[in-house]
Amino acid sequence: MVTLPKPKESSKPTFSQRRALFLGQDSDSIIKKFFGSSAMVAILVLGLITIFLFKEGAGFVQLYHKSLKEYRLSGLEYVDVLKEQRDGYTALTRYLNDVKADWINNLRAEGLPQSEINARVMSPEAKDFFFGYMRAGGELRGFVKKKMDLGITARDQHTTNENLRETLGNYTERIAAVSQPDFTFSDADRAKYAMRLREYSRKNTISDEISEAYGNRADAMQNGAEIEANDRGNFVVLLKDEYQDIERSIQPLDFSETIVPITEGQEEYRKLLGRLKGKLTAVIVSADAIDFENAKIDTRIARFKELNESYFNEFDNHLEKLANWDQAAPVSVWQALGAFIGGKDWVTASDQQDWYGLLPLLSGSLLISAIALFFAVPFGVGAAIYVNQIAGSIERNLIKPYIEFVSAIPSVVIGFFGVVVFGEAIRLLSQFDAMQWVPFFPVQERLNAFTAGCLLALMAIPTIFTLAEDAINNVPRHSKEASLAMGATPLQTTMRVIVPTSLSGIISAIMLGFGRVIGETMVVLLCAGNRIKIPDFTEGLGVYFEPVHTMTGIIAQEMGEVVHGSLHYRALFMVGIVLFFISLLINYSAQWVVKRYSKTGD
Amino acid sequence: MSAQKQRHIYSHRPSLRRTTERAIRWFFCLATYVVILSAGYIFANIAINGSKAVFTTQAPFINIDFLTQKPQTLHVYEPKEIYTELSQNNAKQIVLRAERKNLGSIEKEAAAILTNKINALEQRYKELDVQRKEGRLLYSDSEHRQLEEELSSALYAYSNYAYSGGGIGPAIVGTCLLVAGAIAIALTLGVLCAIYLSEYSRPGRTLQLIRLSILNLSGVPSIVFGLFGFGMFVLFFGWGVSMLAGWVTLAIMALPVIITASEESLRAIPKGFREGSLALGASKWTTVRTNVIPYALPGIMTSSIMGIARVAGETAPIMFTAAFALRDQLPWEGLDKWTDFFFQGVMALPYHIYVVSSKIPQNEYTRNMQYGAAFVFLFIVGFFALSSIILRAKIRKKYRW
Repeated sequence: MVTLPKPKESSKPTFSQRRALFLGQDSDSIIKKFFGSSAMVAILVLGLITIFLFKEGAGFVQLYHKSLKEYRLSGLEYVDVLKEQRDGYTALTRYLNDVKADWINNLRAEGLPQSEINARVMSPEAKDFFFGYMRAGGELRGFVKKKMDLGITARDQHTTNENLRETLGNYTERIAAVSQPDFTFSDADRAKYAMRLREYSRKNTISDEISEAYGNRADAMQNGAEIEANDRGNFVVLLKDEYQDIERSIQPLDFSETIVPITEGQEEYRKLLGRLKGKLTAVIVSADAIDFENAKIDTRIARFKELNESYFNEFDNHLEKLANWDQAAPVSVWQALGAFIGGKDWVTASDQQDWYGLLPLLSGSLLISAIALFFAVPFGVGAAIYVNQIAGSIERNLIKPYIEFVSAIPSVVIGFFGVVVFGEAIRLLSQFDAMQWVPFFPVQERLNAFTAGCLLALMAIPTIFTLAEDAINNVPRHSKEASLAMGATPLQTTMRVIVPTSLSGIISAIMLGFGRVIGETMVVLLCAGNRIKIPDFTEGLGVYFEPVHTMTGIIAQEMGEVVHGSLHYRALFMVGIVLFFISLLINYSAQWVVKRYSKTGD
Repeated sequence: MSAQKQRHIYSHRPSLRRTTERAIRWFFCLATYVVILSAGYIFANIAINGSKAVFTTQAPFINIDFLTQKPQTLHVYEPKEIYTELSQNNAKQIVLRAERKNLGSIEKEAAAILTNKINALEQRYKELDVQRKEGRLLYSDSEHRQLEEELSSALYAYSNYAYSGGGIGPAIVGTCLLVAGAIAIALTLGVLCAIYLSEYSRPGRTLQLIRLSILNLSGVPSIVFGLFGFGMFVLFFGWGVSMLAGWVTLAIMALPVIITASEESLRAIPKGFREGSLALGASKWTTVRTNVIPYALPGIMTSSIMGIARVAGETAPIMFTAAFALRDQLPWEGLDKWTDFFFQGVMALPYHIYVVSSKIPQNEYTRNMQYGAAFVFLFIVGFFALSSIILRAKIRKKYRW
């Protein structure tokens, strides 16, 4: 910076010879303004990004609110409550199937030949039990399916009506435009007019003459005839005609009527559940007739019985919930926002209700970041300490540029490496017999959170390394020398003087590394498995090997296919807003840590 | 006892503390080298497999076709007999393996017999595989169209793989165009901004705001830039998926890197240079032009190369703003008017790599294209990154004030 004393603006020195070039400004200040304006671009861009994300995301809450309101009004919400019990039953059958598979595997492991296994599994008692259980729920499934179809029909009809009304609005505008006396036909209008004429002449059954005249006129239009005076009037008539056609095709829909067939029959449903309970109880008793000859299977069957008991106990609650369901209960805008931030499902293009919940994506992103940081922090910080404190100068001069070079590897190349080599390597490794002591091996999917996390760690290490090394490097020499002079060993000096002094810098390095990991797109898109589901944390460490989806991944994957302005489109922008603010927060707190806790230079 | 007495009193004695200290030092060393080796493995893996696609054993030693041709579908004809026998062989192996697995643990002899059978089959499989590779015919789209008559399906088993034939010419061209345009925009704005920040600005609220914006911009995830570019340039301005939209989006992404690095190199110029010039009566602009920029130029060049490496490596911002998965024409072909040049989508290497690694199956036929594209891309980006690192090291040595 220049520190020359500046002459005061008010008292110009006599030797000032600068000419005013433009708007009373001299050349120097013009140049300054010119440079300054390009500096403002940074602010402008940041502002624009914020504005744009909000502009596109803004309509989301409103649209989602509307969608949720329709979800309640059309009774689909009621159907979803109904489905809970059916899904519970389905889960139980799945559990039972699992037990059966387990049984067969055990028999196989005992060394029995296939024929013997078949004879046991297909014995009449076993058949009664396993198949009987599966058959018992047919009635329930049918009942729920019927209600579901009713709900879907009502909702679809509503959506169709909405679309038709929108079309009518467009037609009104168009008719108004054509009715203007100074309306001129564009090429598109001509084509449209000719098409209308022809259609009308085909449909018109009143008089052959008119229809022939219209047909001729349409041909003439196509052959490039001039527009005549009465054409505009005809066009308006035709448009109005079409308007009425569309208006007639709207079948008025009253949600308070369509809801009746859905919610009726609760008493019948109660009886149905009672029958189901009876059947299932009878079937379960038959399980005692089967001799599994295996303690593990026996305990699982016992557990199955317990699960069934708790399933039956749910019935009353469930029925009460159904009875208390209220179509007219209001949905607030805040609920819509809450359904986004706290929503557990991300379901798009479904025939019932689309859900846009952030949680599966956020939890996936955080899980992958946690894995990445778990590896990146020790390696990155460790390497920084090694390079700055332990390594010799030749080693340092080689390693530093090398790691800087690693940071330049494009993320898509790392993702590609993950797909082709690393994911497969992990799966093969997990299938080795020697690795079977690890509880969650062998892994099911080759592309999972762990694969992506490891590769992201490699991307975060250069960031963490460079910044942490910088922070360690900034520790004043005298601290180190003082410590050594007091008789501390080099390692003591490093761990007790240098690292604590530069801790703020190291922490901010880790935060920025986290920022890089959570914002990374291509690696997670290619390697994370892309299953939209909240990871099952009850599995313990096995959760790290589940496929997940992330916030960045979902934007990259779905943005190309959405309709501009639709709810889905806006939902993706909302995810973008969340990402944007997470990155701002990380950036800001990294700075704050450095400012607040910086000990260097004291 | 005597052995201990011979030791000098100041000599090192083994102690637990010293051992742990050494162990910790080794841990740090290990951490560093694990990082270096795993990154090195990625480089080596891609370089070795990719060089098979890019280099040849004959005269120019570089596979020009791969670097210049357009991506095409690969048509594969394998000799039917061998193909059938291979698949039968494979099916037999699977059956035998399943049988072996189903055997009880007691039947050891039967298991041994099965293992022998499987080994024999595997042996045969390898022989057949060599024959298959000798006997197969590979055609790209254009060659396939030129075939006089279809190869008879009685003799050959046919399969095809999208993107796997031809080369990556349009993708390389597209990447170069995208990077060149983006860097031109970013460099102009970035250097001007850096000059303002280091030479003209006076501390105040505006300056703080500018710095804060730059800092925050550098942390925003690349996909958010992509989202912004898509919403603003592609949809709102109506440019469509176009090179121009890609340029601006990428330029905005590169801005913080270029501004920060350029400013740093401007600030490194000693005050005396400026003061001397001002003392001789030069105006501010003359001072900056003659006594600051020339000395900062090498540093600015370095920062711009670093910006290139960053811009070239990104995929997410161009995914929906500029890149097409497949485009037959090169950007200068088939233009109605010259402005169309800016409003067309192009193929780009990073997006191409994404497409070939996620949208087509992985096998021996697609592998060449996948690794080749990754290798070329890594080479281009690595070249820029390396030159920026080397240049910077040189400048630091050269200019010491």
